[in-house]
Amino acid sequence: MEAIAEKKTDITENREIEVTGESVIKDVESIETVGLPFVDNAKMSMRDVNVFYGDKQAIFNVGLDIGKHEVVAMIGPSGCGKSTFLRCLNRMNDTIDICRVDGSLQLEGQDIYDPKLDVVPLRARVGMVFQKPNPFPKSIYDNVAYGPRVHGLVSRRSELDEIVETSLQKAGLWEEVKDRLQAPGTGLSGGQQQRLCIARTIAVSPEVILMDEPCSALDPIATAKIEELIAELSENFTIAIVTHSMQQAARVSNRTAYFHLGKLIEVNDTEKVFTNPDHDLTEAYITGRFG
Amino acid sequence: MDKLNLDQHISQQFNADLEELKTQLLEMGGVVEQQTINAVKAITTADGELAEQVIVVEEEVDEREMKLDEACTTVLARRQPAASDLRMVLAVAKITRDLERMGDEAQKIAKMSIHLNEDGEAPRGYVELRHIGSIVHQMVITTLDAFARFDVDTAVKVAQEDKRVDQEYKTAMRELATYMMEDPRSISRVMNIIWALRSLERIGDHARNIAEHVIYLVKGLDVRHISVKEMKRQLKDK
Amino acid sequence: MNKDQEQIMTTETSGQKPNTIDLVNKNLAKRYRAEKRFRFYGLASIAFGVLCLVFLFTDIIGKGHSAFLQTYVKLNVDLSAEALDISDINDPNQLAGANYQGVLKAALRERFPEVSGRRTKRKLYGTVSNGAGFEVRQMVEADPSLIGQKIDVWVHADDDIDTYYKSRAADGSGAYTGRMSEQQIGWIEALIADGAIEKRFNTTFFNAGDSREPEQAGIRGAIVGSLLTLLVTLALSFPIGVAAAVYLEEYAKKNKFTEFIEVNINNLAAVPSIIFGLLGLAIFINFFEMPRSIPLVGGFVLTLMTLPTIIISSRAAIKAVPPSIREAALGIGASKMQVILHHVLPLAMPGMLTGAIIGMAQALGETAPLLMIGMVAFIVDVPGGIADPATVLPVQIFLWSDSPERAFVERTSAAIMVLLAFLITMNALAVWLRKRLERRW
Repeated sequence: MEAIAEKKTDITENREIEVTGESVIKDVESIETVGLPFVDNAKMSMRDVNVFYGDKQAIFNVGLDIGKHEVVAMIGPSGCGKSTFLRCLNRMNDTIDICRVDGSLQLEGQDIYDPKLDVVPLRARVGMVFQKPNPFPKSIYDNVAYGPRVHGLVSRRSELDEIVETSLQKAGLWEEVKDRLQAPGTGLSGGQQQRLCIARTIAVSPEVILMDEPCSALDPIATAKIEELIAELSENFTIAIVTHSMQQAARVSNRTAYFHLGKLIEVNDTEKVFTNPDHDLTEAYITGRFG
Repeated sequence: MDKLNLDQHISQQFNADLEELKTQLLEMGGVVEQQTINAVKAITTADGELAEQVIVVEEEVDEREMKLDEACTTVLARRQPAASDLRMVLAVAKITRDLERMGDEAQKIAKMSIHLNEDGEAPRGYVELRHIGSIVHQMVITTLDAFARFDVDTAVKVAQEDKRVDQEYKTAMRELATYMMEDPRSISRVMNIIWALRSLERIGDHARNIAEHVIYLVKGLDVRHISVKEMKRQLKDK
Repeated sequence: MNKDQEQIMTTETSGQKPNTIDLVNKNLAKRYRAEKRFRFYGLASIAFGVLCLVFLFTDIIGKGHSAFLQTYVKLNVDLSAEALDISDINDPNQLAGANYQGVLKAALRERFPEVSGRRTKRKLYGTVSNGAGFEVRQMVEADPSLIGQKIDVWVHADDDIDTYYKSRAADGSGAYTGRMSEQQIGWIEALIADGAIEKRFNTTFFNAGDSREPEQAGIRGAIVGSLLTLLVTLALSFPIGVAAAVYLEEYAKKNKFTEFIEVNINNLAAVPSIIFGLLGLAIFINFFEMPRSIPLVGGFVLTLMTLPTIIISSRAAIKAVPPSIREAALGIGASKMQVILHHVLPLAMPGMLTGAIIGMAQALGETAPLLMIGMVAFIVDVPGGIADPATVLPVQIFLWSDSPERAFVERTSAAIMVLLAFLITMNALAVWLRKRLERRW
């Protein structure tokens, strides 16, 4: 009998939690982004972005600038829309039939959702690194050379060799693989694979690199190497990174954007966000006060 | 955001860790406060035993400081706190340091008390000691209260009080300096009183520092090295 | 409620709290028994399957192995120009039209001089195959210098003699006589006593086309017909199937229409093959008026039949390509076609090839649709191209199994063995190809 009584209380408690959960969502609907979402020297600038999956809205009125040679980290709980937003930036969402993107997304003043714009050159300008290291089942050399080849960037083999070497060097992988460029890329360790993917991305000299949780499948040492790499890359590239690790966001980024239930809650300098965020929801998330 | 919600983490252990920091700090504060009041009492009533006690308690304060520092290091290492939690840990570490200094100053006052007992009663200064002592004691209580309740307004009051202590201290100095010029034979004894007053003033400064840490902890605002007026203005802007 | 649970309840109510590990142990024996039973069922099923297979193979091999040997008869043939009834030995026309059957008959008469009377003589002539004359002709044409000599020639025995000799034990007992008379048996025993009858490897079976005479019948025509038909089928169904699968998986929007197509493809894979035969008959032969019995039409029909299989397996293979690879290529800026050609197809190729080969194996064993388009005809010549009339292996088996001659029974089984060998080879090829292509990385 006692057990039954306990269960009942459990149920009522759950309901209460659900009710409070709803009230949180209601609060969120009236929220404007706080902090500094816009910068002067924007590489990419997004305004009033709404994303829909069929009838469901995934992103609500997001406005954000990504400055030149800046690292912007996007954090937030699972399902908050940060990855969805990131994938809008090089139109990777095009592959999903039911996905619809509204609003203005510009790369150096050019609308990237212009129907006349070809996504192929766009993706050459805005490269992407994914959550799981996904090298092609080809040799290390061919992995890096793939981008330059499909875009026809080179005419001679020697030029291609040079691009492969410099890309691998920039990705910090050259020393480890220079003797086995013809070995399969899938034979590398997880961290090396991810750096190979980064080398593959930078081989086409993009202006912006999008990273979707690039370290979530890696051990701490590999993660540290990638983070070090991000810092080096930010000298030449503009980087937007989605991460679940707040420490990582704190370590690598200049500015941090906090997403919550499809809304951009707060954007601020990273130091500010991690010492004294403006918004209660940001504070609650980064201090681990709700899930 | 005046409420810090330190007890609302997903991790109950984290809640407990932070709560433990707070409790330990307030306990240490209680010890230092008692030390201050005892030191002033010992010097004004020429109670040598009480003075010895203050000196002995100082060891406990040192121990507590080390324990709190270790607790702060542990939380930093294990929890990687951010935002208000990070400020909490930093503030506790800094307040601990200030409290320990306050303990040192109280110990100096107690030593002065023992000197005075050996050299003989000073002719002047006890009124000032008692007066400034009570203000400073109140400041210590208030600043600990501000920390306990994370109350910015109370903390601002402490800063204001510190200004008053500084003025009282200057007045007392001028007066005692004049007296020493009139009666050079009493210089060594009056100097003991001056040292004690100086320590009290220092305790007041530390109380103000603690109040500033509380403001940083609650508001995330660094209000060190600025006037109370500026402090108020910045708090209003926030 | 079973006993165990009852016990638990009683121990609970009597206040002694049962130890968890005791309860677990109590159930453990039961669990192990259940597991043993479960494994036994699986083992029994496999044993049953293996038994059936062993039975099938023993039967087929038991019946068919003798078809790989052929009985030959030795005759002392007079190859003089007069006997062959030719005047000019250098004239190929005369050589081709010479009376070879006549010299064989003469040789038989010479061997058994006591035979008299038309009917008995005809029986005697039936000792050697009807086609034996051709063998002699081939010999003479290959070496005209033989003319004028009297030589020993080994020729095919008639199927009755073949059957008799193969079933005969060493001491002459237990032989299958069939429709042979005492007299014929006497002749054969006499020849055996002379050492003028022996078994040799049956090259005819692999070199000749079909024939009314079992000893002259071979499966070469059927094999070539099968290969030509399969060639047409593969050349059509693989590209069409892969292209359809690629479109459906990569380009087609997911809507009611594509769902409808998908259901239909799955449905077609289960449609009886005879329906495809009827369809082929209606479209290719009646409407397009293509000739009957040719591998081209057979290939068309089998293409219709194997397409669903290939499309389904190709789609499965394409689906199995990890989306991360697609994303990676898209993220670099490869176009959709580049993604498909550079990444999806190479990775899906082993699966698609396996599907295609299994579809081909299915097509190889198919009879019903080919019956409908006339590939069941009796065709003696080995087809020279996809437009020549032909038959295929399973149809050949079907035809032979219908023939009354005892000697066709063993040839039927032998043909089945050849068909099985082809199927095993193809499946092994599928496995090998998959292994090889997958091993690349």
